[in-house]
Amino acid sequence: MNQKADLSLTAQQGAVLQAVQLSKSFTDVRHATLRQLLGGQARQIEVLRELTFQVKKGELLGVIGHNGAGKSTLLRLLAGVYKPTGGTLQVLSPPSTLFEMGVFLDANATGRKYCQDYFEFLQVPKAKIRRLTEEIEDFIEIGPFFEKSVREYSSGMKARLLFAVATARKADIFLIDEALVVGDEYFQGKAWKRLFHLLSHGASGVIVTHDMDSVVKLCENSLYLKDGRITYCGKSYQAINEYLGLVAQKDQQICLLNKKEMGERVYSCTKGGNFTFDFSFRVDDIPLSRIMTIAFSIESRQKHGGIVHICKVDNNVSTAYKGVYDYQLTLENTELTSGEYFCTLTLGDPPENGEGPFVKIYDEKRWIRLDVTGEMPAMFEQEKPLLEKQVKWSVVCI
Amino acid sequence: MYIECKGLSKRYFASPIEYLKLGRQEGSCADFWALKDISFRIEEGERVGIIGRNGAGKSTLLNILSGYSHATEGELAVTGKVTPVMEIGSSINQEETGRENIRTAGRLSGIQENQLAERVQEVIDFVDLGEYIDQPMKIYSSGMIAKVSFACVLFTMPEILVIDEVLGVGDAAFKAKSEAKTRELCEKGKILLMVSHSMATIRKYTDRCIWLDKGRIRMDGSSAKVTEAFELSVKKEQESQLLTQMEKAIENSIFGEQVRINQLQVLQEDGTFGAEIHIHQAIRVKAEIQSEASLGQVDLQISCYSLRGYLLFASSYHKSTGQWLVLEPGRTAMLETRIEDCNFNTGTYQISLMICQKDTPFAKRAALFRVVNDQYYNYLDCPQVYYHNHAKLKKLHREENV
Amino acid sequence: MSNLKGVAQRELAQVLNLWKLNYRTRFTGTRIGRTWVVLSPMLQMGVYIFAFGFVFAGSGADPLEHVLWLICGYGPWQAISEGIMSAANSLVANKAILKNFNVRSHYFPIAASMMGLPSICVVLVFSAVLLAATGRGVSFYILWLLLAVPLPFLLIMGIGLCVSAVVVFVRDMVQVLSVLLMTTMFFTPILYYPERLPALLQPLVMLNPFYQIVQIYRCSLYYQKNADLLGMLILLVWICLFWLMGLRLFRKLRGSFESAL
Repeated sequence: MNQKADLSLTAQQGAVLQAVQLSKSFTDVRHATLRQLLGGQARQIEVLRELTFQVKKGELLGVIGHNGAGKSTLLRLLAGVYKPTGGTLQVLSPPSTLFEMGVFLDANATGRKYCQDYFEFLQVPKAKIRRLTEEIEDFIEIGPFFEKSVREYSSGMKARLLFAVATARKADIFLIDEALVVGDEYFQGKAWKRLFHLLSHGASGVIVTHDMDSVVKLCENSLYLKDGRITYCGKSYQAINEYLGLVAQKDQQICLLNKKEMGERVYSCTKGGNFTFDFSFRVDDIPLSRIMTIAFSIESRQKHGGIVHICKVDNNVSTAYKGVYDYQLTLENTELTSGEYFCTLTLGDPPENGEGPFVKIYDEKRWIRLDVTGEMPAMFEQEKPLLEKQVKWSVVCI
Repeated sequence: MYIECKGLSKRYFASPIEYLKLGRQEGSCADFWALKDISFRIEEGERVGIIGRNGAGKSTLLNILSGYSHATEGELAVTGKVTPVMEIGSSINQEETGRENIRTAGRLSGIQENQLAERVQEVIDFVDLGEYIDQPMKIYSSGMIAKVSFACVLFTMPEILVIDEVLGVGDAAFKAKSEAKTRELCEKGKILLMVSHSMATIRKYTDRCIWLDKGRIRMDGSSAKVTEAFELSVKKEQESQLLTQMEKAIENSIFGEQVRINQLQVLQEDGTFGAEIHIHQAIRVKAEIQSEASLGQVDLQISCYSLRGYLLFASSYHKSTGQWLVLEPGRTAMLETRIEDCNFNTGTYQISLMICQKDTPFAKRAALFRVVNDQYYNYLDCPQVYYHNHAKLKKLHREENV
Repeated sequence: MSNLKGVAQRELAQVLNLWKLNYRTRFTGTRIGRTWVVLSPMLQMGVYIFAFGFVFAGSGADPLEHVLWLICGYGPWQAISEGIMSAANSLVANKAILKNFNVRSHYFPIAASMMGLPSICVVLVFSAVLLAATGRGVSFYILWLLLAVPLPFLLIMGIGLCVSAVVVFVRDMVQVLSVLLMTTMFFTPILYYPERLPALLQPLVMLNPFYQIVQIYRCSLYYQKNADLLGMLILLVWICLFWLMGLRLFRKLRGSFESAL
């Protein structure tokens, strides 16, 4: 592997990580004799096959796929923990890693000791370790538990500690495996914030997750891994459509029709203009209340991650008979600025107070692409507002 | 069959050495009540969710209900067999294959030898791990372990099923299957206890919900109500933090030496200064600008930010009117802007006015204002903008159904 | 050349790091913590010394002198057996680190081999005390210690490399090793004089690397004469053989470690 020459090429292209035909096989140790192992003749199990992708500076790449598809193995390959059995991998700088369930070098250690052990192992200077440990203590907010053994931590506390430690130091590349799923909403919010902060300061990374919302929030692009191969590499919402497309849902009371088409099509409207959206659903089982709420919401993805829920319109409709219903939703004079948006169509039972989140959802289609076209004023380049409102100015000099 | 507890409390005692080191301080880990005075009764057929922040005592409560630990005070009566779903996760043998571990779990559940093979196959089919089932479990990801843990539930028909966050880990296919299975188990009229951080999951699976806060029961009622209250409290806390941050930021953001923005006010439609705008009314912003130096042509920019820092709209004087503002020393400029149809959701917003020349800012000032919306969204992650008056839903007619 | 120095420095730093980690994590949760690092070898040695120095001692020799002779023999052996057993298990015991961090696998047995260092320190301290107490004093020959101290560790590292790689795939090896070490101790004249070995085995004693190590210690501290050069040569050959085999095994099996751990 001609690493040195290729590294400079990678840097030139603005990529911090590049994999070309990357493959990894494991030895079938269970069925191999020592002699076979020594001779290199043991059977190999292919886990990852010929992966080719790139991560650019400031980008967070998502990786989704079913269990056993090789996602964790891929992260470890990128971290340098495993060595590839084929292909090349170039990584511009040593990544900071956060793997599933974390690594406890010492099961009896207290939270504080864990931090110290971890950083000492990575050969961080002593003064810095002290500072980092203080910062971590502040961040995770577990109070006196910081001095207690990690054995007594709940899974949420462990997750907080592991996340804080892995993101404590500034690194150029982060490799994160499923860690954001555990933990309560409050801490997840803090975790997102920290990740956004890192990303907006030029960090890059790869994140493996099953949480579809996280993937779209954080990552513009994603990989969909299936059986060790990249089945799709591109925009996150598209990767999700591919992934979810495989999950069939049977026996639904009410279901949306043409979900696949809704996922593939890109709707568009002009800035300030009207937007029409046609959809149909079928009622197989009339609900008791004979009413259903249809909600249509529009979300936008912010530059460095994060989803803003812009608007939501809901209407109650009657579902008094079985069969197919066709509806047309029109949004007039949308004040949306030009750009890319995502819509969600939800069919559910009317919420108790007449508003609030749905208690029972019959069916839902997320990540419907909407492009608002039109000229975007230059002043919006830096920071794009959600709406374009008419402002009347009047200045009087005295 | 029921679960009943009265005055259940759990205290963590420290060792004598810890007392010496930390002393008897309130709140130190030397003296810590994980649960205090928990009382409730769950009848057969109820599906109950348990929610709360990290460290609120959820896992402690479940451990006590499952029999893994004992309460320090109070009474607990549990009739019926408790099956925690995460049980196998902690007792798997890493070196053995998935198949072997499932077989062990089957034996431990009391399945007779002659039925074992069949039942094991049932579980293996449900888990659907392909050839990984014959690989040692040490290579499984947490999602795969969760699948196996959950699938072993099939061995026993649980009377009291306790699910602890396991449905959160796992791919979409697993989620669908486990949902269906859980629904099936629930319909058999047993008791379901579920701990989750996802309000959506709680709302989906449970009818009743108990909110634990620092070891005490804060609320016990219908899932819809309790989850909403929980989300609201989280939202309130977040917002009050953000508000303090924003107020501080506003104080620090005022600057301007050669040019000063003396006053920035947000008025209601009729001109009164109340800082509270009703929905669909216009927002009026008044500002007084004074200049000490002769700056030539400057542009005015106005931006509006939400509490969470999203830029809602922005406008530039020059872009809107085509003119520049010319400032001369000693003269004051009175600025007024009007933004029609404020359709923001209820909350606090920030208007920021900036004077700049060719991208260099010369002065800046911000002010807060509130929007009141009587058609009001108030749940976590509610939309920023209220669009109902812009939307029309029309039913199209189909020949067949008529 | 400077690159090589940098690389060597880094490797050394990592090994030391791992060694420190071993100690940091070994005794947490115990009451007296790190005191065990010194207390454990001291107590162990104490038992053997008491048994073979006083209880089973032959008649005649001054007990303190006999104890010195024993310490020079048993102390290094304790370090060796501790080192080898630690090294054997080092890869398996540290699989969490191997599977989550980017660390070269050969560092583990090398770092674990050093676990016997406290035993050697105890030997040196006790010897100093005894040399003073018996009036033997220190002689010029004590300089042989400069070889006596590092050589056993080199041997352990070599053996450690071989064994640790194999243990990953054949866990039974650990049991075999335990028995082998015990056997070796009894068949090496550490606790008794070489003359007591059966006549058949006496010529083989020279080829025993462990015996050679013990001899260097004894020569520098007890006998106070020059160590046997031929013996040292034999020891060096053993060290080279073990290192060569160890590195070769590592190179061949390294790729499959992650599959087996």
